[in-house]
Amino acid sequence: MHSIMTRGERLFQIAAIGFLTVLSAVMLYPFVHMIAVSLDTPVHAIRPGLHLYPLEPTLEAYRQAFRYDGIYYGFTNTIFRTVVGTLLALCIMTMGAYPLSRKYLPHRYPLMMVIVFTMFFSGGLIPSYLLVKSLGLYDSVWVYIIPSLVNTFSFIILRNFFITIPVELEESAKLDGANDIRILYSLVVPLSKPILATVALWTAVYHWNAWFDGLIYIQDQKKIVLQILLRRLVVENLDQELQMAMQQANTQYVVPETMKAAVLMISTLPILIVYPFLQKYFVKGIIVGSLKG
Amino acid sequence: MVARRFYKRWSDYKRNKYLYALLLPILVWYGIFAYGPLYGIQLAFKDFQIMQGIAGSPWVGLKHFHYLFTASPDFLQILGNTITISFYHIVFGFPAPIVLALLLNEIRHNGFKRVTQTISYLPHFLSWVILAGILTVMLSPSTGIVNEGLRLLGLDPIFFLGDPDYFRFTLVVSNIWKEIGWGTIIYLAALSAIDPHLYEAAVMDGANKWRQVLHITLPQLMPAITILLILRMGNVLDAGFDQILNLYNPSVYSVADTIDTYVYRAGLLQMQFSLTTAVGLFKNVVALLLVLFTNFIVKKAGQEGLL
Amino acid sequence: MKKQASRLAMLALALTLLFGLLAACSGGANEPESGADGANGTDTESAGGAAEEPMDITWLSFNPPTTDDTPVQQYLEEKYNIRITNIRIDRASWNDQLNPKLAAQEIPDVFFMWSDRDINNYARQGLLREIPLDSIREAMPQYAADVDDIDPMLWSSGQVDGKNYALPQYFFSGSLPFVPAYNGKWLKAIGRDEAPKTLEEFEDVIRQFTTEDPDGNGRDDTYGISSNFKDGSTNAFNEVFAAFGIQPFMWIENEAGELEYGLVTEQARQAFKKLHAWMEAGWIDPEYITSDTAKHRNDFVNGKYGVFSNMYYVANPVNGAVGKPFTEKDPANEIVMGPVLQNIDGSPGAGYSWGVKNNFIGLGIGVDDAKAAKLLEIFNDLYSDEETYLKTVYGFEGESYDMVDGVPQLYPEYTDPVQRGAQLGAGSYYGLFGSKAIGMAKYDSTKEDIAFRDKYTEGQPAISNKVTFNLPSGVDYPDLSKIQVEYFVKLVSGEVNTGSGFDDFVALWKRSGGEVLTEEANEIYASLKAQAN
Repeated sequence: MHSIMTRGERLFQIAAIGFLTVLSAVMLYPFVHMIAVSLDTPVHAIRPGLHLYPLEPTLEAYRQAFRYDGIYYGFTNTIFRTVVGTLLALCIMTMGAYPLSRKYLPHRYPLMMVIVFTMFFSGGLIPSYLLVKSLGLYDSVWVYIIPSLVNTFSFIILRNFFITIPVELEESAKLDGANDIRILYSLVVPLSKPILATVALWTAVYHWNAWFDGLIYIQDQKKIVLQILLRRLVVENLDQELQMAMQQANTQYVVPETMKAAVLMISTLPILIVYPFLQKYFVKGIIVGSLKG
Repeated sequence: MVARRFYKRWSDYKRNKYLYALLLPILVWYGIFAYGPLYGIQLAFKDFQIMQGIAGSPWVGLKHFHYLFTASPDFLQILGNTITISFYHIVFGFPAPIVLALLLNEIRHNGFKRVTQTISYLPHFLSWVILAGILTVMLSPSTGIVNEGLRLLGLDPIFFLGDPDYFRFTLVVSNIWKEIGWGTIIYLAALSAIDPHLYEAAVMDGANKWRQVLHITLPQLMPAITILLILRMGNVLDAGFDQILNLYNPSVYSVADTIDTYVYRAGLLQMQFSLTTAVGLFKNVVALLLVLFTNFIVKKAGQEGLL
Repeated sequence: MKKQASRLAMLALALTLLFGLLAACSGGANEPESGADGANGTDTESAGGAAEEPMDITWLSFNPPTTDDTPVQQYLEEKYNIRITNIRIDRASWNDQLNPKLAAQEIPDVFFMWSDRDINNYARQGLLREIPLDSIREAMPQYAADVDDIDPMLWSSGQVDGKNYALPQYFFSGSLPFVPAYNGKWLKAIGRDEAPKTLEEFEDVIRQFTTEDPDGNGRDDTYGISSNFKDGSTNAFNEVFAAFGIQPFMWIENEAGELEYGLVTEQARQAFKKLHAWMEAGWIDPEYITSDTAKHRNDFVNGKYGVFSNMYYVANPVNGAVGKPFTEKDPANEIVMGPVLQNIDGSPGAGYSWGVKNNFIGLGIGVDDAKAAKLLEIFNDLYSDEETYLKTVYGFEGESYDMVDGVPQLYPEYTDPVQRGAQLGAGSYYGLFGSKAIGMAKYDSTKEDIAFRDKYTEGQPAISNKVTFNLPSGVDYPDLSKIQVEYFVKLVSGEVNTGSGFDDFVALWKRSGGEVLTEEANEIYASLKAQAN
C-alpha cells in the first residue's frame, strides 16, 4: 500500500491537498450557485452576492421545469443519441484507427492524409444540409448519430495510442494463428481501456451537449434534444426586436431565473455521473498488469 | 522486375486484407460526409445566389477576402487580437491541465483524488452564456467576491470585464478555470498507462519525486502531449468566439475584437454564406500550415506526429 | 477469395470518393421545391362548386405550435380549405436556422420578417414575391386605410428598388415614449413626493440617490442611474438624452428638414458633457457597460441604483418585467413613473420611442397568383374579422380564455405567449396581426391596462427613428456601429473629451461611413416624402 513518506513528501501532500481544495471550491461554485438558485424563490434568486444556499427553499422551479413542453422527449432523445451514438462511434473509430496504426500497412500515409485533410477543409453548412436531406436523414433521429459518427480529433488520438502497443504482442499473437480482427478485439481493445474510456467520455459528452444539428435538421418537436430546450429558455433574447414584436402588454411574461436554473440542472446532472463510472479505467498500471501476467 | 514488385504489392494487400476490411466503414463515412459536401468551398469565391444554387452562382474571385481584409479599417488590430489572445490561451492554457494532471497523480489519498477530479471538470459543462452571467457578478468591482478579496488585501478593485488592461487576462484565466479539469482527463489516461516498475527502479536508484517526474513521467507523456499540441495548433485562429461574444463589451473591443466576432457583426447586416465560407477557408489554410509546421518540428524531435 | 478481398478494398475506396463526387454534383444543381414538404407549385383550380384540393401553404412566423394538429390550425385549414405546413424556427437562433433552409430553396409562402433589412436581403436574393400596393389596397381595405391614417411612410419600408415586397405591420404602442421610472421609497427618502420634470431636478435626484443613502443602510452603495449597455445600447440613458432633444442612435429631422444622426449632433455633445460630469462625480454605475438587460433589471430591483427608463408596462406592479419582482421584493415600495424630461430650452423633451413600424409579412417567391389572392384574403380576415382575430390570437372562448368586460382574459397556463402558441397555435404564429390591428385594440387591453398606460404616457412627447427604411450602403461599413458604441463609452468616461475629442469623433464617424449613410438617408427620405404627398 502506501510506503512511508518522508517529511518532505508529507509537506508536499499537505500543500497539494490544500491547493486542490481551494481549486475545487472555485470550480464548484458555479454549480452551487445554480443549484441554490434553482431551489429558491424568484425574489431571492436575483439578489446580488454569493448564492451558496437557497434562502427560501422550494421545489417550484423543478415542478415548472418538468411541466415544460417537451422535456420528456428531450430526455429520451438525448439519452438515445448519447448511448447509441457513443457505442457506434467507438466501434467505427476503433476499427479504423487500428489498421492505420500499423506501420507496415501499405498506403497508410496517404490514407491518413485523406482523413486529416478533412479536419481543415469543409464545405460548410449548405452542402451538408443538402446532403442530409438527400440521404433522407432530415427530421430523423438518426441525423443525430450518423453525420457525427466520426470525430477526427478522437480518431487521431486513438490511432496514436494504438501505435504505442508493442509490436511483440501482435507478433506473438499472429504466431499463435490469430488474424488482425481477432487481435483487435481480444488483444488491443482490452489493453486500451483508458483511451477507449476517454474517447467514450468525449463522445458521450459531445452528444449530450450537442444542439446545433438538432436545430438545423429536426422539425418534429417530438425529436428534439434537451439542449435545444435549454437554449430556448436561456438564450431567451430580451432584444429589442423581440420586445417590439411581442409587445402585447397585457401578456408580458418573463421566464423566472429559478426555472432556467432548474432546467439547466436537470439537463446537466445526468451526464456528470458518467465520469465517475469510467474512472475505474484510469487506474494506474492496469495495462502493465495484464502485460506482465 | 516489375512483375516481382507487382506481386509483392499484391501479397501485401492480401496479407492485410482484414485491416483493409476494418478500414472500410470509416472511409466510406469520410467519403460521404466529409468529402461529399466539400464542393461548398467554392462559395468562398462566389456570390451565392440562392435561386441559382451553388453551381449556378457567379464567380467573384477574391472579393470576399478583400472585404474581410479591408471593410474594417481595424482589420490589423482584429487580426492582432486574434493571434495574441490565442497565443495566451495556448501558452498558459495548454500546459495547465498537464500540471494539474501531474499534481493529481501525486495525491496518495485515492478518495480525495477522485472527488477533486470530478469537481474539476464541472465548469466545462456550463456554457459561456450561463457562465458570463455568473462571472459578471463575481467579478463586479462593487459587489463581486473577487474584488472583495482584493479589498481585504488592501488593493484597489479591478474592473476585470470592463478594463482593456485586464480583459485578456480575464479571458485566459476564466477559460483555464472552465477547461482545466476536462483537459486533465486525457493526461490521466496516459499516466495510468505508465509502467509502475519504471518508478520502482528509479526509486531504487535514489531518484526523488522531482527527478522521477522529469525523467520518467514527462517523457512517457510526451506522445500524448505532442499530438495534442499539434492538434491544438489547428485552432490557432479561433480565439474562443463563444467566450468572447458573451463576455465582451464596447469598452474592450480594442483588445478583444477577433476575426470571428467581427464576422459575426458583419453577418448581422447581411445574409452571410459566402463571407463565412471565405473566412473559414482563410482560417483553415493558416491552421493547416501551422499544423504541418508543428508536425514537422515534432517529428524532428523524434516523436510520433500527426502523419 | 483473397484477391477479391483486397480488390474489394481498393474498389470501395474508389467508390466512396466517386459517391462523394456524385453527391456533390447532385447537390450543386438546382433543386426546385416539390411535393410533400409544402409545395408552392401549381395547385388545382377547378370550376367553382366541385370539391377543390386544399391549397398547400408553408407558414413561417414565431412562437410556433409544437404539433401539426392544434385547434387553431385546424380552424384555419377548415375555414379556408388549406393545408398548412408549419416551419418552426426558434427566435433565439432565427437566422442560423432559417438560412440553410432558404439556401436549399425551401422558401415559406407566408414569410414573417423582422425588419426592412431582412426584406432587402431576401428580395435581392429573389426569394420574395412582389406584392403591388394596389393589390393590398384592394384585398385589405381596412388595413390599407389604417396604415394611411397612422403613418403613410410605412408603405415605403417594404419597398426595394421601387417594388413592394411586404405588408408592413405597425403597433400603436410604438408611438409611446419610454418613461423614467423611479424607486418610490428613495424619492421619499430624499424629500420628494413626485418625480422630477426638468433636467436640473433630475440631476439633483441622481446626486441625492448616490450621496444621501436613500436605502438607509448606512453604506455608500447606491448609484443614481445605470444602463443595460451590453445588449441594449440603443436606448442607453434615453431619459437623459430626451432633455437634449435627441436620441443618439436615431436619425432625426433637424430644423432644416434634413436627417441627422443623433450621436453626432451638437445636442449629443452637450448630453455627453453632462453624462461625463455625472460619471466623474460617481453618480453613474460604472458597471453599466457590462450589464445586460437581465442584470440591469435585477440591479434596480435590488436597489443598486434608482431610476430606469423603458416602456410603461415594464413597471407595472402586477405583471411588469421589473414591476413584478420589485413589488414582490418589497410590497411596501412602489415604482413612481415620471414624465419625459423637459428639454433644457423649455420645449418638450424627446422621449425615446420605437416608432410605429413593426415587423413585416411577405410572400415567398413560390407563391403564384391564386395562392397570393388566397393569402391576402386570409390576411384580411386576420386583420379585420373579429372572429378570426380572436381565434387566432387568443384561442377559443371557454377553452383558453373568458370574455371579461369585452376583453379576453387568458387562462393562466396560456398567458405565456410561447406556451400558448406551442399548445394551441394561438398567438403571434397564426395571429399575425395580434396587437397590431387598431380595430381590434379593444380586445388587447383591459380598461385597467389602458388607464395605466394613459396615466403615464398620455401627452408625453416622443421621437422615433426617421429612417424607417433600409440603407443599402450599411453593408459596406460593418464597423460603424462598433465605433459608435466604443466612443459612446469613451465620451461618458472622459477618455475622449467633449470638446476637440468630440469633433475628432464626428470626423471619424463621417469617414467611416457616416457621411455616405447620411447622404443616402436624406436622398431616400426626400424621395419618399415626395411620393407620400
